[in-house]
Order: sequence, then C-alpha cells, then structure tokens
Amino acid sequence: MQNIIEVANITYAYPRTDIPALNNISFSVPQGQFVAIIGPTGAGKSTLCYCFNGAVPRLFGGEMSGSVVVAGKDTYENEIPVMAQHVGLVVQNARNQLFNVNVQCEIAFGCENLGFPRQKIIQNLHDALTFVGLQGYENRQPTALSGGQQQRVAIACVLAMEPDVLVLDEPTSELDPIGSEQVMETITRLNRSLGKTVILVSHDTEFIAQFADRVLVINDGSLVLDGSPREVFSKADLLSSCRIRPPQVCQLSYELRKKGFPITDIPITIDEAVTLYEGLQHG
Amino acid sequence: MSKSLVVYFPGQTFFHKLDPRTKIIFMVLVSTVIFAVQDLYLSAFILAVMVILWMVARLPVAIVYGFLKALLPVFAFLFIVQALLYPGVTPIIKPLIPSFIPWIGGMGQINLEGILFAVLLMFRLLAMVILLPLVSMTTPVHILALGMVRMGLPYRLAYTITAALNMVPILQSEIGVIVDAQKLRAMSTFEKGSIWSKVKSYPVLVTPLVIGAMRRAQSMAVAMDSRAFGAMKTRTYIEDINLRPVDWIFMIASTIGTVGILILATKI
Ligand SMILES: Nc1ncnc2c1ncn2[C@@H]1O[C@H](COP(=O)(O)OP(=O)(O)OP(=O)(O)O)[C@@H](O)[C@H]1O
Ligand SMILES: [Mg+2]
Repeated sequence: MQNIIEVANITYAYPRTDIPALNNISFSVPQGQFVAIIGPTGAGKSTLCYCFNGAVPRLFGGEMSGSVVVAGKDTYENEIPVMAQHVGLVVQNARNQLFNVNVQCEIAFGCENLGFPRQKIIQNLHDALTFVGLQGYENRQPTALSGGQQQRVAIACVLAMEPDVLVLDEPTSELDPIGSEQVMETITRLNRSLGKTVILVSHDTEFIAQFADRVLVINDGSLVLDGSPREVFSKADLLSSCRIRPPQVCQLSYELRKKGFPITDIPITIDEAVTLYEGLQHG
Repeated sequence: MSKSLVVYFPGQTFFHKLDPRTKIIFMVLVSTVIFAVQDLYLSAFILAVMVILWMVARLPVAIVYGFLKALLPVFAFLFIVQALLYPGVTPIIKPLIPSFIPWIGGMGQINLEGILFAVLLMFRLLAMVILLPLVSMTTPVHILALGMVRMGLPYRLAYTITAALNMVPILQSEIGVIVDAQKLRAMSTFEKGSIWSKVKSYPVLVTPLVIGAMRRAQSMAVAMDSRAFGAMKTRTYIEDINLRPVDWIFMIASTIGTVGILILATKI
C-alpha cells in the first residue's frame, strides 16, 4: 500500500514559547487507514492536526523543522488551500468552523472556493448531507443546530471537497452520548464505506479499541507509542503514566491480572472480554 | 429590539426578489439623494418612499418605531442646539437670555427656521438608518456578496463585508450570554443603575467579548483556510443571480427619481 501521509522528524514551537509543542515526531500512514491519536490535554494533539494542512506553521507562525507530505504534497511548498484539496480538517471547536448563514452555504463554501462547477457542487452538497444524515437541513442556521448536528455539518463541509484524508480533532468531546454515537458512526462509515484515510483525535478509547486500525499516543509533544489498539491498550503502565484512560474492559483485566488471574492477552472489546472470561470460568 | 437588524427576514415580496445588484445600486442612489437634498419637503418625500418600500417588503414596522424612539434623544439635542444657535427670523419663543448680557445675550430664541432644520435632519437621519436594513433584511448575505462580486468587487473583500454583517447577530447573542453570566455574579448594572454605573461596567462586558472574538478569529482563520478560502481565482457559486426585466425597470425608475429629485433640489 502507498503511504498517503509522511511525517518526518517534525519539531515545532509556537511563537514566543520555549518548549516545543511537537518534538521530533515521525510516522507514515497508508491510504485508507483509520488512525486514532490519544494523549492527555496539552500533549500537542491539536497542534499535530494543524500540521497536516500546513496551518502550523503558516497561520500560527513559530519555528518548525522536519516535513509533512500528504498525497505527495509538501506543506512547505503548498499553501493551505492547496493542501485542503487533499486534507479535510475538522477543528476542535465546531462552532468556530461554521460561519456561513445556512447549512447549504456552509457546505458549498469549500467547493466554491475550489472552483468546482455548479452542478458538481449541488451534487456533492446533496451527497455529503445524505452521508451525514442531515437531508432537508439545507436552510437551517448552522449555529442553531445541536452539537452533534454541528459536528456532522462540519464533517459534511470537508467531505464535499473530496479530500483523501479527513482529520477530526475531538469531534465528540462536547457531545451527549447519543450525539456522540451518531458522529462516531458517521466517522466509521467515512473510513469503511468511502475508504477515506481518517485521523481521529479522541478520548473515547472504547470506540478507538473497536474501530481504529492504529493508535498513536502523544505525550508532552512526543510520539511515545505507535501500534494497533491491542498493543497500545495492553500497556497499562505506560498509559497511566500518560494519564490516558484505557477502555474499561482493559482496566478490569489489568486489575484481575494483578490479582493473579491468568490473563495473557488483554481483551480490548466487550466481546473479547466475554469470550476470555467464559474461558476462565470453564477452564 | 432583540432581533438583529441585519439578519435576513425571509419573504417573497417584490423587493425581496430583486437582484442584489439592483438593491446595491438603489442603496447608492438613495444615499446620494439623502446626502444632497437639504429641502424639507423633498426629504419628507424620500422618507415616505423608504417607508412605503419598507411596507412593500413586509418588514416589521416595529423596527421603524424602534429607530424613531432611538433617534428621539438625537432629535431633542438637535432641537436645543438649533434653537440656541440657528439664526432665524421667525421667532416663536422670545430669547431666554436677555440681550444685555454680553456674548450669550439673545441666545435661546427659538425660531421656526431652527425647528424646521431639526425636523429636516431628523427626516434625513431616519431615511438613512432605514436604508441599510431595507436592503440587508431582504437579501441573504451570501447573495449580497455574490452581487458585489458580480459588480467587480474582489471576492475576499465582498466576503469580509458580508461576514462582518453576519458577525453582528453572533456578537449580540454573545453579549447576551456575558450579561447573563455577570448577572449570575450579581452584576445588575446592565439593566438598572445610573448611566455612570453602566459606563463603568462596560469593561466587564467588553473584555470577554474582545478576547472571545480574538480567539474565534484565529480558529476561524484556520477553519476558513482549511476550506480553501481564497484558493482559486475563478471561484464558482452554487447560487445564481439574474437581472430580470423588473430589475431594469426598478433601476431605471430609481435613476429617474434620483435625477428628478436632484434637479428639483437645485431649483429650490
Ligand atoms: N496558539 C498557541 N500559542 C502558543 N501555545 C499554544 C497555542 N496553542 C497551543 N499551545 C500550547 O501547545 C501545547 C499543545 O497544545 P495542543 O492544543 O496541541 O494540545 P492538545 O493535545 O490538543 O490538548 P487538548 O486535549 O486540551 O485539546 C500546549 O502546551 C499549549 O499550551
Ligand atoms: Mg486539542
């Protein structure tokens, strides 16, 4: 598989700061992978998200070294709008990314900027709205929607621009469980049905354990762990030292293992846990 | 008036359906006329036309009353200034200050001319403040932006203007939130209290507003660039606007009206 994202040795400090927000981070992502980024608050997750389309350092300023290449385009050489054709970024606060009068304008905005023909914009608008399950919301005011609906509009906005990669920064952190579930379901379909490469920053480790292909753990600006959900969520000590809450089934298994239960592979989903504990009971 | 004056007020009226370019040209013509005309009757006529259009567009008349109420202190101020300083020949009230007092003696005489001048200014002000909402409330901002672009304005500039219009209701709702938050902390001066205490409480209101706006400006810049704002020279538009015959008729009529009034104004 070809790598759609190549991040090589990036180190970055915001203007007027001494400690770098990102510290020598490298990784590459093959096309179609679902990558989750986890880490404590202030770890640099959002900063890393801004790197994918060059908002860091272009808009924020500051010192940066290393390189970020997405779909063959280097963020040093290409301006944000050019990168935006390949990377759709949904920033952390949905309210701030909805600034048009209605949902239709909001979703058309990116396509219009890219100069898509009118007919194609209408088609993409329709497809994106259908995809996020908000048909009939064209004339609604984006800021008057529920938090979950706003997030889904924000996803539709970047989806309509036909990017290869979608970067979503904590899309569910401010949502109630139902809104959260709808957004996560949408994100899963982005990856599974549309084959988009997804980079998701989230604290929802239960969801990540179930759906992500790979987890990057960021702490203090450094990439401290990079592996499958199974590998990452098995490392109880490292996660707790990074103040990351693993899925509850993992926590339970850590505790049981401490008590002497013969658990070799930590289960990361409920189903796995059920199978394991049935085995323990019968064995 | 809690509702914002720049927010689109949906409707299907003839005025709503005019092309944004027609309305922009109309706005320019009317502003010129209001600015140029110094005659009481002509100004009354212009104001009347504006009010009639306001009603044709089925916009809430309460807003006009609101303007009138808001302008009353201005009117009172003008009235007093005019009364004191305007050189008139038709006294209605004798000088308040006896003429033997040096410098200010003889002032305070209220003349008919002074009153008429104040009324004239009032008409012109009112016509002017009705004009903007008459256009902005009958045209969605993105259509207005498209109109400006088609008239040759760079897209970035047109978008900035309309985004500013769009920010007004957001800031208004934010002011509401801050006022409520401060009220919870037992600050009540926004509603009652003397004017001076209101003035003193402004930093409490403005500081969070400005900080919030600045934070939002940065994440908005990120969000806008991430959606390729300003990417292409040939931006496309999902909406389309067309000048229909009614637009041409309206434009020609407004031009004739403008020229006519200007000619009349120079003759008077
Ligand atoms: N605009 C900025 N200017 C200066 N420093 C910043 C700026 N934005 C973030 N930082 C700092 O950079 C570091 C990383 O911040 P970042 O927002 O990337 O963290 P995060 O992992 O996204 O945290 P959270 O989970 O709270 O969103 C923090 O120490 C933060 O204080
Ligand atoms: Mg963040």
